[in-house]
Amino acid sequence: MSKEKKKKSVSLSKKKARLGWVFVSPFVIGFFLFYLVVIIESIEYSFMEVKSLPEGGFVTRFVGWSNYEYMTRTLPTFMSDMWGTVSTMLYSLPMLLLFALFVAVILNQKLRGRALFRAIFFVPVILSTGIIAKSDAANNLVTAFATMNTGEMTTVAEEATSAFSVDGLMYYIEDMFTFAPWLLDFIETAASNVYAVISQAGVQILIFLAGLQSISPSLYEAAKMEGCSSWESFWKITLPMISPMILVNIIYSIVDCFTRYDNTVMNTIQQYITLTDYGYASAAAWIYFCVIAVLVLIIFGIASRLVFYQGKER
Amino acid sequence: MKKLKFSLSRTERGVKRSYAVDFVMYGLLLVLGIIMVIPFVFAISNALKPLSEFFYFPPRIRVENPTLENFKDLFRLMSDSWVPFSRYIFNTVFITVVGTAGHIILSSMCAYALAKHNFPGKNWIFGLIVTSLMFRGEVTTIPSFMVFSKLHLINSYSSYILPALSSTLGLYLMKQFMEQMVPNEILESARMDGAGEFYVFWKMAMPMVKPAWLTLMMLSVQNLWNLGSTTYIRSEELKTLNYALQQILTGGIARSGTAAAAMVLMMIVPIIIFIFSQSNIVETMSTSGMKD
Repeated sequence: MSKEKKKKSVSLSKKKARLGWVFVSPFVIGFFLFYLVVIIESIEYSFMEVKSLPEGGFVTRFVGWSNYEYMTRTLPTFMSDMWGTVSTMLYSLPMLLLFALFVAVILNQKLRGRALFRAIFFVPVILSTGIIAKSDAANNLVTAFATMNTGEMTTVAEEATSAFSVDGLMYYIEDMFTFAPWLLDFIETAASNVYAVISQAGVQILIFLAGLQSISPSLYEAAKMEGCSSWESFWKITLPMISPMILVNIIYSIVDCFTRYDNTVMNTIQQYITLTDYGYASAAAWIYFCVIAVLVLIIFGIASRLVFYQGKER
Repeated sequence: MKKLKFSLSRTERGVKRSYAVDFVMYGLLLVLGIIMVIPFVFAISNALKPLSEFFYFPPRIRVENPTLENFKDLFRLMSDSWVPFSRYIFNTVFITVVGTAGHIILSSMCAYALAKHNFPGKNWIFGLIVTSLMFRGEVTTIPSFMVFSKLHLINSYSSYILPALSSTLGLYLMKQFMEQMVPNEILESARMDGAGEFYVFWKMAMPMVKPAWLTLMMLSVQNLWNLGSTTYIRSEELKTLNYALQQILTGGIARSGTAAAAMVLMMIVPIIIFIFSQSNIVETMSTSGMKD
């Protein structure tokens, strides 16, 4: 009797496992074919010298670590570009997330024209891809925006507050923060990157919004009954419930920041690909990948301890 | 009359917010919104400018003599093209629709199983997928080409669509949402009532994460709509709208106005889809069916 029972339960869990694989397999097959195989094969190329032949096709020759050596030792700009990219990312990440969360919380309120406002915050994402980013007109557009921002607007601001010119203001700020120069640096970098940051936040805002929309209103109702202010219910309900999305957004922002078209390291890699120096490009990509992976692992490890999952504590 | 309706709706929805809070919120949104929208407005105004106004420095947003000449030029160029232009449009629309629908279904299914089922190897799969997020497509040009040619996908729609189906970011997003927003109790009770697993997935889990897959849809549409030329496509009949428009734009400075018009046309579709999808979201009731 007990034997029979045992047998049955094993087959049930097996059945469940099979069901899981049925759900997973269409995606996973595609993923293996188009992503994983390709990525692993690029390791091979990073140890090769690839020469394209004038009559078409290419030849490869095994060269060991020399591609990596070239990237890290010989090429002067690669490593410094990479650290630059990492530090920019670390600067902009907290700001990006705070901004995105802030906007998402506002956009999740009951507002008139909510969909329109949401669309407005998504516009930079649409502008930054495809034909728009590539065409000449886009250049024109970016310069226009830059001049408007720095040129005319600052002059207007300076005229309006002639006692507080921008330089004067900078002096005062520097004076205030002499105890912590790194903080000053941080604020300065942050301030000069404001447009860059908020224009990159479109997708993050969207992810946060989706998270906020999925929080059950009954939680807020219960909290209100118990006499919570909206400030308290933000900290006690919204933040824990949205914390998995914060983790998603951290990962997304890091990946997005590192793989953007305007990223200097990506540009270097791109250049090697156009020169058909495929070995160098692969080696550079793998060095870059390792750095990002370590960074993501560290951040992921710290952040996932702080994340609250709704169903998991039971 | 209108005012009455407004005040009614305020209390009806149970919004208790002072006008001061409203004022601050709208103010903030307006300021930030204006910053966001300036480049967009600028693009539209560019499309309406005659060539004589195009190269003013500093560039200005106001158009003195707005014309539709740029759009007319664009349509004239379109009708001159070798392959009928409707073909490019069809290609892009087809790729976008099929790719997006497939991507949403496949990645949601996978995410559902990864979040709600236990089976050996699932953590490995998820780990691999997250790691591969950090790799950019361009870096793997040669191996990708090899794989595509081995699978005989060169020069077919599948070379656009298949990689988009298993784009990894979407899966990651969906998995997190499935984990957080779909309570196991509801799924379990549906199974008790004899619902099949696909039914549970499609009718219970998916509606609960509607905001998530609408987001996914937007990301996917955005990618596929802007797909340009790839090395996998040789015949002209299979190329995309983006590619075709870029060919028009290579005409240099004289085509700047036309380029701006093309840009506006390309932007408008994702924006319309976005507004539609966002106004379609109703508050989900993921946990409201539970009493614990």
